[in-house]
Amino acid sequence: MRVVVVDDVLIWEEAVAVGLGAMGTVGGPYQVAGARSPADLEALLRTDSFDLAFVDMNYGKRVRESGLTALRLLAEHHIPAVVYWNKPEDNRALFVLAAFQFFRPLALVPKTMSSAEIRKVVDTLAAGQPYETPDLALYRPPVGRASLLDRLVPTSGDLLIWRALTVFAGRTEVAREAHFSLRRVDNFLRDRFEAMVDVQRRLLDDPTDGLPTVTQSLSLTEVKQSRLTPMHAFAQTHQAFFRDPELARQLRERGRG
Amino acid sequence: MGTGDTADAIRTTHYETAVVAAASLWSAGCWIRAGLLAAMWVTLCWMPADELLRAAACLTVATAGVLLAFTHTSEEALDRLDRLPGAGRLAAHLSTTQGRATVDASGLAEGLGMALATTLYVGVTPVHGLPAPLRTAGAVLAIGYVWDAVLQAVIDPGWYNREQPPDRGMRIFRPTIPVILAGLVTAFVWPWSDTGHEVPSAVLVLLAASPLLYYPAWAAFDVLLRSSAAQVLRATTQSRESAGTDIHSLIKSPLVLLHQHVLDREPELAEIRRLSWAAILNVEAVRRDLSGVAPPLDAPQTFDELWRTFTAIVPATDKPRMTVDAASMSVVLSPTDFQLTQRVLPDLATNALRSGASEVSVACRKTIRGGVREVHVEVTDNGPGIAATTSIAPTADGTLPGHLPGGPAGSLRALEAGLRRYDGAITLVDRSATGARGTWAHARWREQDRIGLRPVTEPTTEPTTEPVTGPATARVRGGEG
Repeated sequence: MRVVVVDDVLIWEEAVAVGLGAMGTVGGPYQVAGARSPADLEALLRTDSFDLAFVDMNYGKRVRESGLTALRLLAEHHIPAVVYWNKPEDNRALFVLAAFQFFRPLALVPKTMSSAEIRKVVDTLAAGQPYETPDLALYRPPVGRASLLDRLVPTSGDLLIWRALTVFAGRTEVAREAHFSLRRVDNFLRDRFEAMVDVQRRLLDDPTDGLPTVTQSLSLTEVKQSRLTPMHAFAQTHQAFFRDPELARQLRERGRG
Repeated sequence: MGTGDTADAIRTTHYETAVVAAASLWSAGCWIRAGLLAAMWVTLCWMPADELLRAAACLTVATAGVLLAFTHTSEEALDRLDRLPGAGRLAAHLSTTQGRATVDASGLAEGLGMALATTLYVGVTPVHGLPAPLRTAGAVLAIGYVWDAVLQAVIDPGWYNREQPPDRGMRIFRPTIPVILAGLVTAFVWPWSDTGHEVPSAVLVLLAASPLLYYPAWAAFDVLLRSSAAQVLRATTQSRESAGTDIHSLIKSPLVLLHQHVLDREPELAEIRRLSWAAILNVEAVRRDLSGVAPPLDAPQTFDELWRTFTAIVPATDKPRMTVDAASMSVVLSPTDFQLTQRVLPDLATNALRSGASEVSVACRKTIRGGVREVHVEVTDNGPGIAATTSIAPTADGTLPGHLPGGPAGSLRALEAGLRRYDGAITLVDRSATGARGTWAHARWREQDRIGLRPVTEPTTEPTTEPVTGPATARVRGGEG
């Protein structure tokens, strides 16, 4: 079985290789190759094929593409993939959400797995069985209703406002940067705020205590600002996600432009 | 950062931005005022002879003022002034009034000089016999000078100084400056005499009202200050997020694996050594990046960067013992090769240092062997030899024996196991066979640059044995201090 690990850090590839007994051996039941970036993976896929991929979602500052691009390349080559991540990586949570929304990877695999667990993951998936982890249910889109990502970034227009929020914390500045009217920005703040709070509560273990809600008696301006400030902070934390070209591409291709 | 901290940071940024802006504005203002004053000196050519002494005296006071204003902007000028006999107190005064909302000697001299200069053209006692257009021009030049000088006071960084804030009286005074100055200008340009009527009334009205323009100028300056402060805070936050991500990506990975390794199975010293080296090197790499001394992100990763990172963390006493091949510094490494080199270099180099060698030479190069691109890291030392220090000997072909004890040799075995995935190996050669002392350690592996690989056309070189003449190329001392 041929496995490729897409991760900028070599030791995570070697952790998989060790787990599968593929360190320095030739001709064993498993072969493990590595790609340090989506561009590296693209080059590898021109000459090689794999039965399974372990995909990290972020490749450091030197690489502009994210794991979403890697997952798209793998999907184009019909190579099944699992998302390979560290649980407390808060600023990767949206990437994982989008990964399961757009590419349906087979599993969500923590990097802290032991060698035995890595072997179990690969063998289970190779046998065509699902490999369930407790976190998986959080990221897999629900059937029959809008997913968290659908509610957070339903269209490319919403993505423009999120991108503006990564830089600006004022309504006027955000509207100007995104080329939208103030009313459009206000509607965005109203409609996306609850989705953001849900993401924080469900995925980031953030109870969002202290955030004013619309039910408190606040002036209209205060209500807008009470949403704008945390949404700006949220956008800054997840700016790599909102600025990922692959996210814009997926939204466009899925007719949400 | 709490709300209070943020507010403090904003106010501090206001002041710091104002100080930076004031340096340029003050310097530019000095040159503008010097130009206006020079033009006023030129008007003396048309003045009657009996007025020249008075005119020159008035303009001399203003000239002294503008020279003192120039002194404000130059440390060198302040030093020179300080060395003049009797000018020490003046120099100290000019130094200590920088960046504070207060009245200083240069301001007083300029103000007095320009008040006197204005009276040459309009007001109570204008000089007679000056052509009307020149009188008008003189009045405009004088008020233009005053306008620029007082503008500096209106937007002085001292108004934003948190450490030495302006007192209450000055704070009340600031918004009244335009009105007070408008009143003063009105009094000075008012055509008290018949000669003063030679200047068109419209010009006099505009000159009298011109100080009111300070209000929009002040507002615009404050807007720019607030915008700069906001932008600084945004950039700081983004930089913090970015630093957090870097630390997470680069440092946490080896530490998590190290922790997991220690918990999950019987710890192997070699593995712990490898992972801890990775963590230490990554900490230094992040420090270099955050300090801005690392190459830009779009620059290719080179052995030079790795060498600088490594030598920054070895003990100071070891640095003079290490040299690196100058040609190695420009060797470009793919991300995988960079990480493999990052693993190999500290292990081979520290083994050599720990063996007691007084000279350790390091080289990195890329070659093509049998159509295969390879990366090589070579460490040559003059110690007693790794075989002697670890009681093992390499096999006849130079590769490591299958079962090595712990310590450096165990670590090398782990290294070689990792390199074997890339068709690599580690070779140890006892240099005594060539009449030299010490060990030549050579790690090689297949280059992992999938993106940059081109068809092989270069001539083949095969460094399978130690160079007979040793490291002959120019060498650079290790470390950057």
